[in-house]
Amino acid sequence: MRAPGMTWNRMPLFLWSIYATSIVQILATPVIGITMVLLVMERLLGVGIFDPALGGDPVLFQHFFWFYSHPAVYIMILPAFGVISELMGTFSRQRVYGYRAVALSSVAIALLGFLVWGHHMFTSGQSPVSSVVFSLITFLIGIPSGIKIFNWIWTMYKGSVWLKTPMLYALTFLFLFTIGGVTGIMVGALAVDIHLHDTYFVVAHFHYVMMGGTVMAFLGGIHYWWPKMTGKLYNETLGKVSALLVFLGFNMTFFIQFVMGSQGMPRRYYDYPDMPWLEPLHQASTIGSYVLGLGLLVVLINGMLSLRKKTPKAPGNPWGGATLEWTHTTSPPDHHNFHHTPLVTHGPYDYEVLFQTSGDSQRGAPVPVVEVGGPQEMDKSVDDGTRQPDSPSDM
Amino acid sequence: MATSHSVTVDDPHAAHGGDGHGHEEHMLVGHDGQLHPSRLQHFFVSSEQQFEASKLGMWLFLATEILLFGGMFVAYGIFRVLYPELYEQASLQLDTVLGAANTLVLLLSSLTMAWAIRGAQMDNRKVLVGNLVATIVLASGFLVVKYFEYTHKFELGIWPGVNFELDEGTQRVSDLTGAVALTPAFTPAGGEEGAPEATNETEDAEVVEADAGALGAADAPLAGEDQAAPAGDDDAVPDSPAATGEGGGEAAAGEGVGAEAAVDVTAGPAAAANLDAPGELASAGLETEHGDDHGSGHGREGEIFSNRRAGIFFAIYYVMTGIHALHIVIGIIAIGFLVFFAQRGDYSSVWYTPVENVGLYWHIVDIIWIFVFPLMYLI
Ligand code: HEM
Ligand SMILES: [Cu+2]
Repeated sequence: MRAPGMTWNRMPLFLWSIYATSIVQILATPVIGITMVLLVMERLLGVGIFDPALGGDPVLFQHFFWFYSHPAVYIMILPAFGVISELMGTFSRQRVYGYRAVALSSVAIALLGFLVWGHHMFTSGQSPVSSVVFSLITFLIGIPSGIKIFNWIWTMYKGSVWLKTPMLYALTFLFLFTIGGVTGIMVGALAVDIHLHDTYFVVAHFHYVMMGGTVMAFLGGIHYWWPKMTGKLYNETLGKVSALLVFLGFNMTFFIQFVMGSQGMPRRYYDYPDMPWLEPLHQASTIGSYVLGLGLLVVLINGMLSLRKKTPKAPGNPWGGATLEWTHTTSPPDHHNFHHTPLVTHGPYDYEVLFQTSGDSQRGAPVPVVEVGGPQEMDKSVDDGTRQPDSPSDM
Repeated sequence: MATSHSVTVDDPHAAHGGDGHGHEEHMLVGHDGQLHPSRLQHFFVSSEQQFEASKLGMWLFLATEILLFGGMFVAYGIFRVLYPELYEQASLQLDTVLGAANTLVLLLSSLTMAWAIRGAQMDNRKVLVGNLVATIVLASGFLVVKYFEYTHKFELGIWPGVNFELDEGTQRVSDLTGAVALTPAFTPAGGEEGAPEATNETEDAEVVEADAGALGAADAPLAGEDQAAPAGDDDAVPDSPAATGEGGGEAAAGEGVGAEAAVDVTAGPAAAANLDAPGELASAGLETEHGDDHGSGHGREGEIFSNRRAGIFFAIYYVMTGIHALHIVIGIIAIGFLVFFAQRGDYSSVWYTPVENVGLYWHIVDIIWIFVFPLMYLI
């Protein structure tokens, strides 16, 4: 299925992240599978495996559960990382900086992600030694995450940043996920987590990574690929309004929860008689959620409006992307995706290859119309296939 | 693997050419030993690549299998640590001879499977089909033995879980109903009480010992009550601190004795003060139950409870061997298909990917048994 010339180092970063995600899915899922089998045995036959009343060990269940469920959070975030890499490249008109570091850090996260599950169990009664070790490894996983953040920032540096809706969401991701990741390290610190565990702080942390991370990347990605999927462009103004509402509403909803959590507001309680001073904060958080909901509603309306008959058709490559779905097929793609199997001759973000004929390769320049099905004409001379995507000469 | 054998010898499909992608594949036909177009998917460059890709997929699947069984091995290990005595005695119920016979049968079937693959590589259909059939026969033999093992246990009343109930008269009941005797001799929940005093390092050891002690202590009176205890029990008793009075001594030095009080004292601090609790949590739970049973004085309840605990061993036994047997059944079906296609002449030295992959699967199922057998039956 792979197009000829599509080597590992020419793979779009989104595919790298999907690759890393598949590793996690394959290796983590069987464990939750057998956990469920054992749980069913316990419920149906009364076998004591997890239930202490039957002689079982509930901490064992937690180990099994988190051995799957921590890797599962990477199943959620890794594809988002991939989407952000695509957006950063396309909307900065710049080769994604540190392509290989970004690609391999996904794999590193996938593998390290299997060794940190105990950070959800600091207060479960696991041994103190394992808590310390899990805390330490949790810090380590911040490294590949940081590698990504810094490389994305560097991609924008001296790039030509084009603030279309997808890029606004990508920037929102960068901001929110960084907060989520840093607070992840905070709750990953054993001593701190003893206090913060099961408080709103944790709720805020995982909303910053899951909503601020995965959902923002999803929204950015859906705007980015919308014309490719539907053949129609959404309304840019409405898109920007939605991004703004989502950004404001999200922070209003969840940042406040960091504050409440650090003051001791527990998760999963609907009242807090001992802490009346939290009431305005809770109310502000609720109002924030309305703003957030409104923003998401605008996204939905914008999408539906764009599907009307009278909306003009989208061009094949509205953003000037350099990956195959933009350069080698129409919007939406034909029945077989590509008329002819594309021949890949350069990396996924080689914008200067793509734009070298047009004088201005920057900032929303009109995109050369690549003839569908005519990949062979493209610049074979430029690339002999040995050049690395991020070799210094290309910067 | 594939060398320069002729492609079409055994292949009835050889006559008709490609399937619409012919023009792409014709480029590949000239090469030595390349797969015939009817077998080579158009998105692979060569038959080697296709073979390796499908083997890689199989290995990924096998990795998930190992993780699936890995979960069960972990559960096995945890409970072995929590209830070593129980494991030792319950595993006496398993028939080592039958288990060993099955191990032999599976090892042999792995041999015939490997031999079948060799047959495919040598383009020898007789060897291929013969060995595949032999593998099916051996695998079925394995299932027959398992059938006898299971039914024998059901006759004894060894069902998984709450249904686990031994007949009153079963001769080796004493092996299993360790904690039946909730006599005062058991009350050395003192062994438990020792734990909170201990320093962190020794904690785990203490707990395990205490637990072992509890079982051992309880065993002794039962042995007297019922019929002669099997030799195994004699070892158990001196080992256990509770029975030798060590545990009791510690208890006396520590807090006051008395069933109910002991329960509270242990369950409280053990769970709250210790981050070391996995073992403790569970044993604390157990103590509580014992305490209640003792308080209300119903020996029968205690027996059911302890049976249930023995049920943990057999639950893990049934889950592990059951899921393993399920894999054997699936293997038999898969090999059945292989026999059908091999008979038809589908496989040759150039294309035998399904034989290879089913072979890999079969070896993994075999290897898992190699671990299950000693863990369940021998130790
Ligand atoms: C920078 C990397 C991250 C670190 C160091 C980290 C660390 C942690 C820690 C230590 C906790 C446990 C807090 C507690 O319960 O006391 C936690 C909870 C959680 N994290 Fe993260 N995290 C990271 C990234 C993520 C990502 C990327 C996601 C999902 C996309 C995620 C989702 C969650 C969720 C859902 C919980 C709550 C689990 C529960 O219900 O208890 N985290 N995180
Ligand atoms: Cu986690």
